[in-house]
Amino acid sequence: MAERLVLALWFPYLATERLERRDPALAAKPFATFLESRGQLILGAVNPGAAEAGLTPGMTLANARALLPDITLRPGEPGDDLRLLEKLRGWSERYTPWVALDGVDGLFLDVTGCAHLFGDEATMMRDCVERLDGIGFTALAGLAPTKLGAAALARFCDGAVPPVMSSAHLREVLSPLPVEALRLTAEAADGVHRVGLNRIGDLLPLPRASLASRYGLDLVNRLDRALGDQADPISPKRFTMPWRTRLNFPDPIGLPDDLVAGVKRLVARLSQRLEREQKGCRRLELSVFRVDGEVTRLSVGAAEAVRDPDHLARLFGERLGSIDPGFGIESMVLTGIALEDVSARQEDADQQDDGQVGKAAPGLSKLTDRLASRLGEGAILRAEPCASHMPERATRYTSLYLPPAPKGKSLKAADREAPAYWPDWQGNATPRPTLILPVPEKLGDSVTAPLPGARWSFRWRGRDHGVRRMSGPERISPEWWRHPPENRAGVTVLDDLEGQVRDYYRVEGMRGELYWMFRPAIHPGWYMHGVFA
Amino acid sequence: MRATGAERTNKKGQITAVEQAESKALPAALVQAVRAIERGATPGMVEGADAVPVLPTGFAPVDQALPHGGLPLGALHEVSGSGGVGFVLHLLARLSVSEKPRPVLWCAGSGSQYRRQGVLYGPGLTQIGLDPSSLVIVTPREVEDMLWAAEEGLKSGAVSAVVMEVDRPLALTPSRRLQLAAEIGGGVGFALGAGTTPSGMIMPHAITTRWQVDPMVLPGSSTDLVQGVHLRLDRVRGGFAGNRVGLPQWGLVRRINGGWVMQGEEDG
Repeated sequence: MAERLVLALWFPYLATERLERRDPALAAKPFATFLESRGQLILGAVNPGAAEAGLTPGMTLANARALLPDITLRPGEPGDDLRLLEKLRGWSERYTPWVALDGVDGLFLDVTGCAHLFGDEATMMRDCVERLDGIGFTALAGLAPTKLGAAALARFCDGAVPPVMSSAHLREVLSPLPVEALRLTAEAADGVHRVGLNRIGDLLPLPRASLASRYGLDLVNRLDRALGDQADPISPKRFTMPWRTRLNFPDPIGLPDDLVAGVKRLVARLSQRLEREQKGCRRLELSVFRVDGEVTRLSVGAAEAVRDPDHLARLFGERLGSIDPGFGIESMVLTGIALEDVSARQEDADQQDDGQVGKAAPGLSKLTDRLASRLGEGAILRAEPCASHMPERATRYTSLYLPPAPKGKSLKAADREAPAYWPDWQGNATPRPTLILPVPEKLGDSVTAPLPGARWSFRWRGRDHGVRRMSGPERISPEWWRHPPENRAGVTVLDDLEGQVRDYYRVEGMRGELYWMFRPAIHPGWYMHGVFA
Repeated sequence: MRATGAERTNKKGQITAVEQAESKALPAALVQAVRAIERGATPGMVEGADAVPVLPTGFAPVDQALPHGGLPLGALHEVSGSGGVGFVLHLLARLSVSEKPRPVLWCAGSGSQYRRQGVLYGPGLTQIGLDPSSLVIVTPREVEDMLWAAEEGLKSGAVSAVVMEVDRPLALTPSRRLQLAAEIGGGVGFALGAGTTPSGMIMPHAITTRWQVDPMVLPGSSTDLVQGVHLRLDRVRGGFAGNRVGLPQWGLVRRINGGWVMQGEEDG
């Protein structure tokens, strides 16, 4: 059996190159990133220009400035560096599926049996380094039968060593390298240096038992792993399968019925997998590929995570008609987005809901999803209570598809005026109208408050209304903690009124109709605000 | 085939029994039987069909004028007049306490007369006993979309009632479709604000009841927390119960921070 082969990649300037890719001007001058460590600022990473001037990572910022006064500095972001390395890991899956991270600046690729796809090992190594150079990363590579061996070649030989194919050869190649290449702990390294063992080759002929007793088992283990005497496997990242199914048609299709049948098939497949993994999805995207290269995408949402195939298919229902098949459709791809865990549920238990829209009622969600697929999610609303004194704020309509406002008191909730519940107004002596105007309307011909018994009339929307009687006032004051909005552009009447103390009256018209209107305490005039319908 | 034959005789025997016991009930029972057969029910089902699910309006005289002692569920009703919203909300509030509460689908017509009067107001709804969180409001742009949404809602059976704001009477086809959808789903449909055609002619349609609700001046009422409502029943499919001349009409009183009562009972 052929020996295992590991390609180690080292990115010596990963952190600086990440920033240089965004701002190419940085590459031309000495440049470093800094981090905060134990109360002082130290260098995190340096680019070649800065390294030439003698700067090294870990140096304090003050020292660095003393050495190189005109150095360009940027704050370092180790998290972003790691994310970038993670992306490079994904990129290097072009060579092998077995890729693992090596610390924060390197990668291990298990390329056993992969090299012939690129020619031979040397070609593959060159290809890898050149491609990385092309996208702006300096990479040093080493190829050896072991992880530690390959990493040592990449980091301690400038990546200049041709591929090492056998353990026997590796022993030879590693011998002249310093013992640090084994990644020893600091004390072990100190210990071996003190007795003059500076190279890996110096350790090889020594009796292993005394090495272990003097410098710890760790040194021996590392030696074994570097030389391939002990297994050191690569654990690749687990591959997550995308929630996607594809349907290719031998002949292009174009009839609406065929389209529906195709969607049903895709949905059935997706639903099976959702069922198996106990998940549901809230959003589906259907991509339709036409023979002429056009791609149509349809995205539909559900009010709650679903996996019932009929329900999923129904989400598309009306919208499938909007797809123009053109000269024919050659394939369709269905992608599940926004997946959520859904435990198995007995579908017949639908009737157990208590009428609250917020609590998911399966029968209702099927209906609203169907309505939303034709009318849009923004057209399906629910009424939300809002803790506010101002009547026009007390009820808010939001899409059923937005998550409900969090209950209870939190700072965030207070910001959003989150409500909590519908106050119990029943039997309250201060009646509220059933219909309210979102923006109060100014009444024409308004006169001052009528004298008792005097006839009074108002003009609303171009019509005169006689007043039979009125009762009130009920004084409603705005919340003192709410500042009136600053002078925004396009201030409406409401904005103008906001922050005003208002006196509300119930006004009965001559035919018995009942209105709710108010008079701001300071502003002149009357405003219509609601109808007791 | 054999079973069906047996059921037929069973039905016949049953009607005879009813006839012997209560001769006055016969026409109603016959009407029931015929109606059930019309709907495609098997003749054996006739027995259960006499319990048409109804929503009592809460006003004894009004209920007495309705054939089954209340507003039939699984049917479409038209409510017109500027007091219509209040009347429908009152019925919805009753519906929400009478049965296992289910949501209500409210199809708002863009630019309908009720839309122009304002939007439903939560605190006001709680005052008349309707939980605002049980409402699902849809706001379609076109009338066709609204009728479609209402039909889907009625058909689904997921909602107890569907209210649609329309500005003119429903034509025969949509009203028939909606009526059938209501029969399938068992929910009750309200077409709000239909009014009459400009010519005043009532178009043929498949609506079960038609109401006209207007505000009314209450003479000499002592408190200002009440509002007078004039209710007129313009049409009932299957005829008004009892013999009467003219359209039945009633005066109602709405306590604006509470429920509705018949006129004359507001103090009780």
